[in-house]
Amino acid sequence: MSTAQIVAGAIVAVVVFWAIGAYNRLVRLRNAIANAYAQIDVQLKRRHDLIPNIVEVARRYLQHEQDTLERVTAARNQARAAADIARSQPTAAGTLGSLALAEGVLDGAMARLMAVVEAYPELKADQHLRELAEELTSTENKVAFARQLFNDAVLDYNNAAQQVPTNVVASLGGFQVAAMLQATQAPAEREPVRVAL
Amino acid sequence: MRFRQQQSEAQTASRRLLLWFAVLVAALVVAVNAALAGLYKLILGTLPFPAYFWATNTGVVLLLVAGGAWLETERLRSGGGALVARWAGGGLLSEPRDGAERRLLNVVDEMALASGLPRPAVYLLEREPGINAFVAGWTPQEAALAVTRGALQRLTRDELQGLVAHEFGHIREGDLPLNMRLLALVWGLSLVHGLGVELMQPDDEGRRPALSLVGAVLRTLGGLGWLAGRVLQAAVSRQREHLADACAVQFTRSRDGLGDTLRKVWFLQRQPEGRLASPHAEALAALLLDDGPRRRWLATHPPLPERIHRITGRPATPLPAPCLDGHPDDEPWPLGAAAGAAASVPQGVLSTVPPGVIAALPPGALAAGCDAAPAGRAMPAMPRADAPVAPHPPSGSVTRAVAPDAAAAPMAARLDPYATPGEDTGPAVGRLLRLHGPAERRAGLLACCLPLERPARVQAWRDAARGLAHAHCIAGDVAQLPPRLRLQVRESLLARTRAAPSAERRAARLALRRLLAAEDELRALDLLRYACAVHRLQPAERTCGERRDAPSPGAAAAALMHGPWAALIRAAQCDGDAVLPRSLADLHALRRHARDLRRLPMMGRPAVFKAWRAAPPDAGRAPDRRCAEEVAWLLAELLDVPRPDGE
Repeated sequence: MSTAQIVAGAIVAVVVFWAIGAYNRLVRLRNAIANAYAQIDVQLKRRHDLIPNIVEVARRYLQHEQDTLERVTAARNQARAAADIARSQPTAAGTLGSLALAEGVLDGAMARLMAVVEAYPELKADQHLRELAEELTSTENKVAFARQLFNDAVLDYNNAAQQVPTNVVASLGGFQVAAMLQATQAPAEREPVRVAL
Repeated sequence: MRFRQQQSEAQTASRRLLLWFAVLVAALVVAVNAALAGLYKLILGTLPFPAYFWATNTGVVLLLVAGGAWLETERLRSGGGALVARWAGGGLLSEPRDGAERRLLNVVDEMALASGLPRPAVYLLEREPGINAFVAGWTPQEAALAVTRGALQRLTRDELQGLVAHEFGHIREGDLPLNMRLLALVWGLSLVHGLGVELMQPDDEGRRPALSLVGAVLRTLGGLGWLAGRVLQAAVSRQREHLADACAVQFTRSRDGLGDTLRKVWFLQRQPEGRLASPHAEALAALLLDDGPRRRWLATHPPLPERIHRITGRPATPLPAPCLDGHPDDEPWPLGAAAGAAASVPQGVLSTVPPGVIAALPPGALAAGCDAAPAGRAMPAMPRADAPVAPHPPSGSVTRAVAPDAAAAPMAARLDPYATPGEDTGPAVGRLLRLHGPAERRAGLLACCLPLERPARVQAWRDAARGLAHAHCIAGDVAQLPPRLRLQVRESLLARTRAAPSAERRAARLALRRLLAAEDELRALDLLRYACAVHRLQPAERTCGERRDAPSPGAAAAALMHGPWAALIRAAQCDGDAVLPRSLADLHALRRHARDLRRLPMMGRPAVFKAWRAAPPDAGRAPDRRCAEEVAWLLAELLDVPRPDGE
């Protein structure tokens, strides 16, 4: 074997090893996106579980506001159902959109409930409700942070997949550019849940 | 986005600083080689350098630095973050007990989500009224996050989020292993200095070997290298703080959370509660959110105004930090522990303590003193006996009374009512305080601890001091001392032996036991003298994890008046030469009780001692005055409280 052959062989080996490394890195980043997405789902479920508790506590004080409470409960059930469908058929067109819509309705109903709570001092002072409100704040934050983590993961992945020379490996391996989550899909979702107690 | 740019800037800066560390080690090797070569030429003139001269110098320095760093890394690694957090006085927070704790756990969960890291164990520093936090641990999986109670009380939810996010920034950027590696490297650099000090140690007779010159070179250069290492370490640490601040902004996507937290910290720094109260605060400095203002070159944190300006992008002012949520500002300590401790003393025991003793203890003293340093560490630091030219006069109130030479004579005469007028003990005291060799110091200590009064003991002492050319001078000097001065010299020698390496301490303990066993019968005062001296020579006890079982002052006072010590003390007070019955000579029980006493909170000790002094003497037998005074001194030493005045 001549020197040229050895050098050429060495170069090929280095390129192959680099390509394998780059491919694995892309796979890792893509899985991180999937994980971040699962986190969002976990937090949404947490919020759905929390809301009936808040409604129960509020019911003790709010005899005249049955309408608001019913609306929150109904919105929560719809959002739960939409989330279930989205989980069972993640690729079906429209499921993510309807989930977003249901979440938006739920946010609106919660905002109204919390506004009502403001008007009832003895309810505002309820220890249990304060704890639940803290949990709700935390869960809202977690939903937001999970989304943020998802977007950060997407950013890292897209950076890796689009930069030269890794983009060659990405196009050969069929790595698509991932889309970021938009923070708001419906106008109602832009309204924050008010928990100022 | 600005925070991403700030992150990459800080990362570049800290990489450049790490390169400087390599340069520093290389410079140390070159400097040691050059200095030793210069020394060699200066002394031996034209002789050629011996074989392997350069290789040996280089090898020794590199071995010390690299080997020391490796050993220290292994040691730091074995602890884990939880150990550090408990050591700083933190309690594990798993089940929240109130809204603030629940909020903290929620915020930690949120930040774990935002950073994509596993959730660390959360510890609460219950007794810290200031705003601070730290993370410790080698990997993100075993990290521990500790937050002060003051942070929970004084920060809003967003600010708490900023604080926790900053600490998560440290975890994600790998600052924990980096910090510990740098700490280990600096320790390795200090070993070169340590070798120099070791080479300059005098031998048993107090003479210095010719190798001291090499020691002086290593000591100087090692000290300089060590200092440079600390400066570099601090510079790296400052860059990592900026990096963690930028990470916090990335996680929370809010500048005001952390910004306002730092403004509140700034405000609190001007108040006493701003500082971390833990006795270990100094060691933790690099880990904390902020470690307070200090010298610029050695500061582990950038100045607060600069940090706030970088985060928020605008100049800031301190922000008042009152306790939120209705906590009154003047209630920094949880008082439950103190009340519980006092209540746990059985009624019968309490009745033997003069009324007022327990009530007079400040409630905070119990809670705060639980993690105070053990008895030995709180002693005024004695200067090491290896000071190169002239020994410094001993510092601290305990030993100031025995200043060497001429000054000692009038002072001794004034202090000691038993000193025979006209007898000049000053030179003897001065000579005894200048004992530098381990063997001569031990001989002096033995003679001071257990007076050489009877032939059997004198013989045993001669055996112990065999090989010392001037043993009889030491014995003569000690014999000259009146009792109280002897106790003072004894205390000074004990303190210096305590500061000596553990082998020397162990040798002193063994020699003491042999001296005690030389006589057939055991005398009360001798046993007490022996027990106190051995107690002082024990290694300092670790405080970690033992806060719960600290005895209450009431129980300790009761043990002093009724336990095994009580009988021994009473016997010794009445007649020092009384031969002890077998039942009182139970050294194990004595040692167990002494350990209990050592766990007493520092603030509670004077009260215990006062209670013991106030207890009525045994009916029937009047205590011998001289013996009683020595017993009181020994007991004060045992409890580590100020000595009783002459009366």
